[in-house]
Amino acid sequence: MIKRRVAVIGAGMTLFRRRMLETGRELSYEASRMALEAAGMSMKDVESVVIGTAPDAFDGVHMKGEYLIEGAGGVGRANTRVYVGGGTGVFTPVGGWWHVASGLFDTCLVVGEEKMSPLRPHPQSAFWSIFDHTTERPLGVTLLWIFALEMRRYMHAHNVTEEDIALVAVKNKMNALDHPCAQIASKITVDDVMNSEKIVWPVKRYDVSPPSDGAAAAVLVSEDVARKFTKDPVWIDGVGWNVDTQYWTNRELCYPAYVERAARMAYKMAKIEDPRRQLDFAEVYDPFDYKELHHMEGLLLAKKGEAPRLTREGVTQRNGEFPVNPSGGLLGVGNPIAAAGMMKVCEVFWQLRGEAGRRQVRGKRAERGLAQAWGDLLQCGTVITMKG
Amino acid sequence: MNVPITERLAAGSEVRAWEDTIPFRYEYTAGVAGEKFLRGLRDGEILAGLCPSCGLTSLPLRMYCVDCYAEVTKSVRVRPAGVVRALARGARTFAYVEFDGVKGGLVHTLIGSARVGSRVVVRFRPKRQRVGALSDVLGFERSG
Repeated sequence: MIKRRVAVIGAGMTLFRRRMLETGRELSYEASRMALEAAGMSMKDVESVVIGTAPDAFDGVHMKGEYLIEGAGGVGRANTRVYVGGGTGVFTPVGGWWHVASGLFDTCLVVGEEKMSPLRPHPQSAFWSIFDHTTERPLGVTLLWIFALEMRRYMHAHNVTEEDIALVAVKNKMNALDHPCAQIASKITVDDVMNSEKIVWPVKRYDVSPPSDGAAAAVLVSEDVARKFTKDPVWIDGVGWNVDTQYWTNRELCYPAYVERAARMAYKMAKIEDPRRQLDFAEVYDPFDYKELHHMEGLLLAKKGEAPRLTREGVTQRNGEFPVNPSGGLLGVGNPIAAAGMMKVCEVFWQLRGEAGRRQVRGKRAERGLAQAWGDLLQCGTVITMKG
Repeated sequence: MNVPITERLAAGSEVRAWEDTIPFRYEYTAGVAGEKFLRGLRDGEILAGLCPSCGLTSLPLRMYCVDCYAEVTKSVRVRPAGVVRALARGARTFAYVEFDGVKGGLVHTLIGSARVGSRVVVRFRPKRQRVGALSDVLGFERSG
């Protein structure tokens, strides 16, 4: 069973950009150094390191965990790479959590990194080989094709319009205007989304987050260590993850049951019975705008089919009753896969410390928040809940 | 003596199978430190990092100290003469060379002959042929 409480005492992240000069190692270093500085620690204080990074094919470096180890500070330490596709970013601090909660280590630096720009002409090509080789790959499908199917299924099941979904992109890109690291923050309208380039209907250009380079990191410690370094620790009080079959054709596309199972695991640990009331806000995985709605429902923050209405009524705005993605999310801040999930965990940390500046939800320090990511072939949910 | 290898399937044509490729193409950035190192080669210099915190001089040039994790922004020119620590002989011979006072080293082609322990110098291409790449170095050549 869980032996010890785990605190987050520092977080840092690089700029998210389409193409950075820094290598993946250098991005990892910059994020890690910022997190350590924020914690008031040096690398000498760190006993273990967990690196999260998605497919090797993005950076174009096989054994990417080994490649990144120097930048992430893992050399000569208990170093581990964790990986669950797009869910990796939130799974990385989950990995760090079990390092410390188990009693094996008092300190763990967790680092999420992705450098997607090397892959030409577009990082999407990294996904060509993930599909089933007997039933799908011969069709030459891409991930966008499967997302279009899922988005359409969600729209059909709950009678949701493209305009309803576009509101998420409008909100998140607007929120990102207050994020100093954001890649595609902008003030746009629903019409802008509707008129943006059709990629695979119903998915349009502005429904999708961009490929990005970036890294984000946090310092996780035991309660004893936390008390030495800060008067203001943020506690990880719930973690959950769940992975379904890769045969996405074997589940109902309009509802991410694996996200619900991951959320229920975290909620049980955190003793959360009514997440909408007990949490102040959520950083929900939003690589596509419809995914924010989909995931809100999977996280039990909205009833099935209810998330579009909550969005329309302004509930999920930063000053709304239940803010979702006050950071600006992947749609606004950018989507360097594992770093993007980690960015959400950093945002929860900053919100709970009252360090989110103009992004602070309802203009004040929040007490409890959630970060979630999703990945593999529409099959994995990772969830973390934190409180101040 | 031949070592037998037993195959379950000797040829893909015996079963339903197809050939495919994963068509990846990359354009890598050398990075902050890599950019500096490659520009150094173009200028006929081997640049190592100098840690402002612990004083370690190390190769390859990195933006952080491999020993103490401090940020490394300063580089120093390494005297382009070192000692062969290991050799791999094939169609080309590669030498691993360490330089005086520097942690780490470089691998490159051995020009001519040398033994482990031999002193060698770095041989650069003529200046006008250098482009800021590892190929600006022709290899190591025995000195003296």
